[in-house]
Amino acid sequence: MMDTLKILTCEQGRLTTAVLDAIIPSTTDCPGAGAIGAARQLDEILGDQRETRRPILDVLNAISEAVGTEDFSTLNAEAQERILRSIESTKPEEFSELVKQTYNIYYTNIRVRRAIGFMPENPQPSGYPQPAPFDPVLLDGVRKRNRTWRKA
Amino acid sequence: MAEETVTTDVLIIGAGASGAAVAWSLVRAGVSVTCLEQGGWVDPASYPHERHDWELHRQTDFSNDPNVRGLPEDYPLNNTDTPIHPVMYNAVGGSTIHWTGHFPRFRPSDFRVRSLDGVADDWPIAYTDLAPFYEQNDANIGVAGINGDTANPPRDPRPLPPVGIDRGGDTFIRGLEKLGWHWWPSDGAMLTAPYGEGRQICNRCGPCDLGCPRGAMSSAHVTYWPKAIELGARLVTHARVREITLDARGRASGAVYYDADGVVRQQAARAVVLACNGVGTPRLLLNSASGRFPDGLANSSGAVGRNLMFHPMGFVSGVFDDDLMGHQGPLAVLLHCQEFYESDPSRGFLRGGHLQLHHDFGPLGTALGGLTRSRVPWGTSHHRVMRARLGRTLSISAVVEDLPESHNTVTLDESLTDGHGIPAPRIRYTLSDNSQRALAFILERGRELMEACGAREVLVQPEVPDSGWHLMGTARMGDDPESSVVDRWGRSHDVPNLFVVDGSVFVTCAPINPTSTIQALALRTAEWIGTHHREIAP
Repeated sequence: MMDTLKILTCEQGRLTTAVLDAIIPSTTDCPGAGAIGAARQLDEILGDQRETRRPILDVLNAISEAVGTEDFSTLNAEAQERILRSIESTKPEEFSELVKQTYNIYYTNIRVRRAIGFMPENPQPSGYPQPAPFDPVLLDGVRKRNRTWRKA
Repeated sequence: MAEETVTTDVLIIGAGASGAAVAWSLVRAGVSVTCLEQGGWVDPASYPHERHDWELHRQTDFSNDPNVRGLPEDYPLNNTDTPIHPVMYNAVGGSTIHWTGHFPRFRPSDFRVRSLDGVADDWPIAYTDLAPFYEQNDANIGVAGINGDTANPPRDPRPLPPVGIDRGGDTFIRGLEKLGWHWWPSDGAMLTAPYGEGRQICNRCGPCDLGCPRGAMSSAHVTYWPKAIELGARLVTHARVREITLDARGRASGAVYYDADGVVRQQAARAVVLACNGVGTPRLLLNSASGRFPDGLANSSGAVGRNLMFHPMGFVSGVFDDDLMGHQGPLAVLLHCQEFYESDPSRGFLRGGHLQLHHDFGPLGTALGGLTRSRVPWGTSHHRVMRARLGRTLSISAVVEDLPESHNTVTLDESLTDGHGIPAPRIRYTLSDNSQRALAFILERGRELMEACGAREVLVQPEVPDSGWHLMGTARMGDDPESSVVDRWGRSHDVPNLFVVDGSVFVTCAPINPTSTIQALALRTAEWIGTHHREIAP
C-alpha cells in the first residue's frame, strides 16, 4: 500500500521498493529490503530528517530519468544494478546516503535478524554465554620474556 | 542572579571520571562538596540494548560525538581545523558512560619522556608517586586483570579476574605466539565477578559503548557517585557553569552557572576543582577571563588551551573463515600487545604504540563497515560478503602516543555558542610528522598480526575522524609557572585554591587509554586538598 506515504509519491514509493530490493536483494533465506516494507520506513525518515530528504530524492529522480518510460521493477537484476552503479558514480554521496539508510532499516528489522541467524536479536537481557575462566597457563611463555618496561 | 545560601568547601565542576573520584575522596575526608554537572542522570533503562534498533543509536542520541547527538546538555565544537574530532558525553558519569573500559596504566617511562627520549617534557611527578592511587582506584571501582606482566611494573593483584578467552581471544593468541610478540589480558574496568552493590557481572552482550545496563562497566555513575552521595556530596545536575569567579584577593570564590530552568546562579566555594575534560576545562578557564586574568583564568603561562593531545589511532580488522562470534563479549576488553610501546629510534619515530585487540560489531555495524568503515557492498554480492564478515571479524585499535605541540589548541569560537550563549570551543590540531610515522608503523604491525592470526582478508582504516576520546594536555602540570598551568598537585600556579584534575593536566599522554591515570591523579589531588583545605581556603 503506497497511497499513504508522507513524502514520496505512490510512483516513487513503488520505485523505491524495487530500488531497495536491488540494493539488498532477496535470497532463499533472507527477504529483500523492499519486501520488508523498507520503502515506507524510508518515507518516514525522509519526513523526519530534512538533511536526508534531498540526497535521496535526488537519487530517486535520477533513477527515474535513467529508466525513462521503462519500469525499473521489471528490469532484470543485472540491468537494475547497472543503472544504480551509474547513478552511484555520478552522485556518490547521495547514493551512499540511500545505501546507509537501507542498511539501517534492514538490519534493525527483527525478521531480518532472525533470517541471518543473529540470535538473540538484541544484546540484552540475555547477553551471551561465558567462556571458561581465564587459564593462567596460557601466559607461561609471555612471563618468561625479559622485562620490557624501562625504569625511570 | 540567585545566590546559593550555602558556601561549600570545594566546588567540583564536572561529574565524570575525575570529578566523581575527587568528590568521593573529599567527602570521605570530611570536606563538604558540591558538584555542578551540565548533564543529568542517565537512566540505564534508556540504554538501547533491548531494542531492535539498538545499533542505530550509535548514529543518533547515543553517538559519542556531541555535534551529532546535539542534546541540550551538549555543547557544540568547531572542528573545521582538526582531522580528529573530540568526542565526549555530558552526564553524571561523563564519558565513562560511553567508554569501553580498556584500563591500562602508564609506565614509569611515560613520566620521563624528555629525560629518556629527548622530546616533550618530563612530568613533575613519577610513576611511584601515582602507584598507590592507581591501586586505590582499582579497588574502588572494580578492575579485572592478572599480575605478572613483564611489560609493566609489579602491582597489587587486581580485584577481579581477567575476562575468559573466547574464540576471538584464541585466534589472537595464536597469531601473537607465532610472531613472538608480547601480549597480556587487558585490564578492564568491568566486573568479571560480583563486586559492590547494585552491579551485575558482564554478560558479554557486546556494545559497551552504548552504556552498560547491568552496571558491569565501572563507570563513575555506578562506582564513585553512589558512595559520594551517601557520604554527603551534593550533586546538582543540569547546571552549566559559565565562569569561575574570583574574590578581591584573586582567589577562586565559586562559579556562576545556569540551572535546569536557565536561571543564573552563583555557587560560593572555598576552593574550586575543574573536572570538565581536556576541552571543557580550557574552555571554562578562557571564558573566565577578567581584568586580573585578561587572557583567561590561571593563564599567566599562556598554556591554557595549548598542547592539546589526542591519541592518533587507526583500526585494523581481520575477516576469518571460522565463525569466531566476534560480536560477543566486551567490545574492547580482551587482550593487548605492548611489543612496540617503548621508543626505538630505528623505527623512524620516537615514543611508541599500543595494539588493543578486541571484538567487533553486530549486524548493522558490520554492514556499515565496522570499525574500519569498509562497508559491505550493496547489490548481488551483499549477502555473500555479509555472511563472510558477521561474527567472523576481529579488530585491532592501533594507537600511538601523541606529543605536545603548542599550536594544537582549544580556543573560544568567535560565533558558535552553546544553548546558553557560552562560546563553544574551537579545535585547531594537526597530526605531527612523528605521529604520522608512528601511526603508519603501528597500523602495519596490526596488519602483520591479523595475517599471522590467519585472517582471510585484512581491512585497514588509517584515519578515524571521530576518535578524539582522549582529550589531554591543555592545562598542563609542571613545576615552572612560566610553562605550565598547574603544579604537581594539580593546583593552579596563579590561583592557589583552583585545581584541575582531568586529562588537561597531562604533560605527555603515553600510547594508551588515559582514564586510570586521570582517576589516579584526581585521587592524589583530592587527598592533598583534603589534607590542606583549611590552609588553602581559610
